[in-house]
Amino acid sequence: MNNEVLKVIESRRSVRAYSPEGLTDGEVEAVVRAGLYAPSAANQQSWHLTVIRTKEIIDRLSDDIKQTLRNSPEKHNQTYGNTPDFHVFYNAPVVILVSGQEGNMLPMADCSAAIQNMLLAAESLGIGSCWTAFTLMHFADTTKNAAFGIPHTHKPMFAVAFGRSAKEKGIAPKRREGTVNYL
Amino acid sequence: MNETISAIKSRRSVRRYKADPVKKDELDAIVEAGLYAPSAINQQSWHFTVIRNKEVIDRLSLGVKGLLHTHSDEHVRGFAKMDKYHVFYDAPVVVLVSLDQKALVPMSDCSAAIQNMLLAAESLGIGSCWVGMTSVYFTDESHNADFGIPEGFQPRYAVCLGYPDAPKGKAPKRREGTVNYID
Repeated sequence: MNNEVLKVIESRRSVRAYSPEGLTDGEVEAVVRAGLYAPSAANQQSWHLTVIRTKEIIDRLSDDIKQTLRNSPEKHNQTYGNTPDFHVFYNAPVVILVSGQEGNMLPMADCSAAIQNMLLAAESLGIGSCWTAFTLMHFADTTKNAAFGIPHTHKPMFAVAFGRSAKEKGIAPKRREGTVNYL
Repeated sequence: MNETISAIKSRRSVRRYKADPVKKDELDAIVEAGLYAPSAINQQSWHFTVIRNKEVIDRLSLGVKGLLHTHSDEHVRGFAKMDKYHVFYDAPVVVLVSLDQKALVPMSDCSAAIQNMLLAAESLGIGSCWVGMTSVYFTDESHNADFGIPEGFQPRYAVCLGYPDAPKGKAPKRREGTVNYID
């Protein structure tokens, strides 16, 4: 059983090495629109998307997040924060911040569905992506929202890097076993 | 518009289904698509219970309805009083999605998996509906054994699947002002 959509779903990998070449306006728009067409609990459409295409801003955000990681009580996070050539967004030319409206029924689920749509739309256009959740820690409240033009009603949750992959696509990590049972 | 973006845009929640069971190879493709979602540090924190037994589905619907009065949302509590309301819209297949409670961001992982399943279904002409209110029935582990849920996993969401029995509707309007650009 196979078709284009199933192929895209299975071929998508997280991309961690990008060509510096930017995405066209049309490509960014197609990815963004795909995000907006996700389902959402009670059709609340809890998401707010902030599209960043300026290298200096992306680099500064990566540095700020690494500072937060260095201050984390978890060794795993500290390691990322202390690795000099680690870039939170892998030097991707486009980063989309995804914020969820507080008080809605299932804002994290809505935002995750929107992100998955964006990852697949990107994949279908030959664009690589990588979803990061370090933002959950960095944007612990809404105090940094104004700097990113995010409404105060929304809490920044995730960030997604987008760009053209600089490497050959890898094989998917093995799927865990025993994850499906039938009644 | 390629097939993936087309499937993303055309997907609607389906709430009227034919009684016909979903063909095995189509159902397998949908479940497999769910398994190929991204997940934080590749934890693959999901478990799927695929229910094709009408009695089990109907009994679960009654069980959920019986507890809807406990739901935090007023709109959802209202469904409890509707006699004819079936939580899974009489779909022939229900996939119960459980989250690994020890994982980093299981709600996110599982939402991405569900979105993959919805799009895989759409590409195969199969209708779907993501149901969130199932969570009221699984707040403790008392029902887990009935569904073969592994230790440490909590059922939360359900995905109805089946051949649609009504023409597809238009997408509800997209909220405005949900995207800002930083250039």
